[in-house]
Amino acid sequence: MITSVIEKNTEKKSNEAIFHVLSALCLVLTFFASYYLYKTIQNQIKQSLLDRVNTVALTLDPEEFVGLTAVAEDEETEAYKKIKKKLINLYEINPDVRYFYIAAMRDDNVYFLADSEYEDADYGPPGQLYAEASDLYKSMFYDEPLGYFEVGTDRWGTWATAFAVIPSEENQVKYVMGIDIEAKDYIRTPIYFASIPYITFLSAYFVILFILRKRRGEMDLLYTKNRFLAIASHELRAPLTGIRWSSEILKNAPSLAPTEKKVATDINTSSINLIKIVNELLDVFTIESKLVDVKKFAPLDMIPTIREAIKQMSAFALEKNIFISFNSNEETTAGKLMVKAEETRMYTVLTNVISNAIKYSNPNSEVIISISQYKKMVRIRVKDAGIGIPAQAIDKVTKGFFRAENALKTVANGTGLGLYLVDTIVRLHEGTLKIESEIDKGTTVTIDLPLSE
Amino acid sequence: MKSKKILIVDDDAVLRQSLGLFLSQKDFEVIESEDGKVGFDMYMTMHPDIIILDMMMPNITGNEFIELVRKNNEKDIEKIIVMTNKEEMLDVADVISKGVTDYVTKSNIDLENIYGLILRKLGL
Repeated sequence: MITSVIEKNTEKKSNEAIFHVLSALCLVLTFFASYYLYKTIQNQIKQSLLDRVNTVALTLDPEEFVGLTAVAEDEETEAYKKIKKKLINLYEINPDVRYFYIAAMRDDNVYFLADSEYEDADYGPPGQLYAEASDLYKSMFYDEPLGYFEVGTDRWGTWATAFAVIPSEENQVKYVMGIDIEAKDYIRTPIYFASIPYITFLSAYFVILFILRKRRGEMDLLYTKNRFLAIASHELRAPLTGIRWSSEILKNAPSLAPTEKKVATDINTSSINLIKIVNELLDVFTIESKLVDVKKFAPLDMIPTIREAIKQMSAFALEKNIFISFNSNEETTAGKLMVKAEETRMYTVLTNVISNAIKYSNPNSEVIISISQYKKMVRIRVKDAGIGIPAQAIDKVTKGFFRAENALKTVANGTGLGLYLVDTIVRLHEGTLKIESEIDKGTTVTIDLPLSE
Repeated sequence: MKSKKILIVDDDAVLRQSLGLFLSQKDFEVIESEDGKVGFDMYMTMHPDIIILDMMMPNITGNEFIELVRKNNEKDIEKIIVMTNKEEMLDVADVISKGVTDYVTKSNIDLENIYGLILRKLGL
């Protein structure tokens, strides 16, 4: 038993190793997802800026520029004032854009024709030379490309800029429209988006790791508990057997006085009871460790199994004058109600339920046991007319080490493990246990176990 | 009637001695060993009629003891009664496959039951 638990434990640890390998793979995927997102977002910003500058450029009519040559004198003209107003309007409805401006070329140099700056203290009049203009920028005036995007630094700051040519009727480039946004918007925003896969990955990683660790902790605890108890119950049983055997010899010694004989008999009986409890505990640990693989069991005919369990309980029933009836409908069910189960465990289930029914029944009453097929299940019912289980205690009786108050008053002895064992074994066999009860009316225990195909 | 000889091999002193005391009260000749190796030597030299064998022991285990007996004389396997603790259920399946037909779970049995088993085994 102990070895099996250890194997189960190492299996859990290797689960974590698999998780780490999967995490590494996910990290690689995350890297690619993040890179793809970064590039896509940056491209989108670039494309949308180009689209905007082209759209704006298309709305400008070259006719409006007639007479403007990008010199300081333009300032007084109606055409300049009109364009300036238009650019300021554009600026006001596009809060993310820092500048709208139109430039023209003279003597192979780029000059500002008009921009979206308000006419305040920092205002620069038309005709200023843009000395920082790159060669690519200048090429806009000759080659008439569809648009052009760059990140550059000038005396006012670092900008991501999109340029578009303002079409002219003579098919000759004279003016170029520019839109500037802060360079950090072009660089930072994609980084924010690119971090999403990493954040998602890391949160998922730590959440899953936390759950795994917690489960492993629980497994370790269960393992330690079971190992401790398995050893303890073995170590307990050996000396208890010693007491049992020694007291057996003692109680049969011919030289004993009647009182001494009674004491020796009591020691013997107590040690036997104690061994029973220790055995019951060991059953719980073995079953809790799920060392039993149900699928491996051969189909067991439940009708003779129930009959045998009733036979084992008959002396106890007789003692309380309780009549056990068994309704098996054998003419239709014989040989059909098979369950893949371990015989001894089924006896544990049946004898526990039946002995409970007898134990908590009023003398001279009846315990009715029935078996039938219900859908794909074998249904076993044990119905008594006993003291019942209080409504608030029904859920607790299968949890282990619990006995309802009225049960404690009726029968003094008991570990409160019986129904817990029953429930655990039934669940292990992929079945269900249902308890219905009414105080002073009785209890019906229904056990459904999967029918063996 | 010449009294039958019973060998008890168990490292637990209380269990071995109480079983020994009980069986000697039943007029058997009892020999005891707390050690599998010594127990096997006793089997070789004293030719017991019944061997009561614990499974979990130092030096050599119950299983190894059975193998040694088999090598010596296959028929002597029938003389063995295996005593186990409940956790050793799997070992029991193992010893049954080795041809041992009788086993008892120590804590679940009265000395009287062991006596009955011995009588049956000896055909008395």
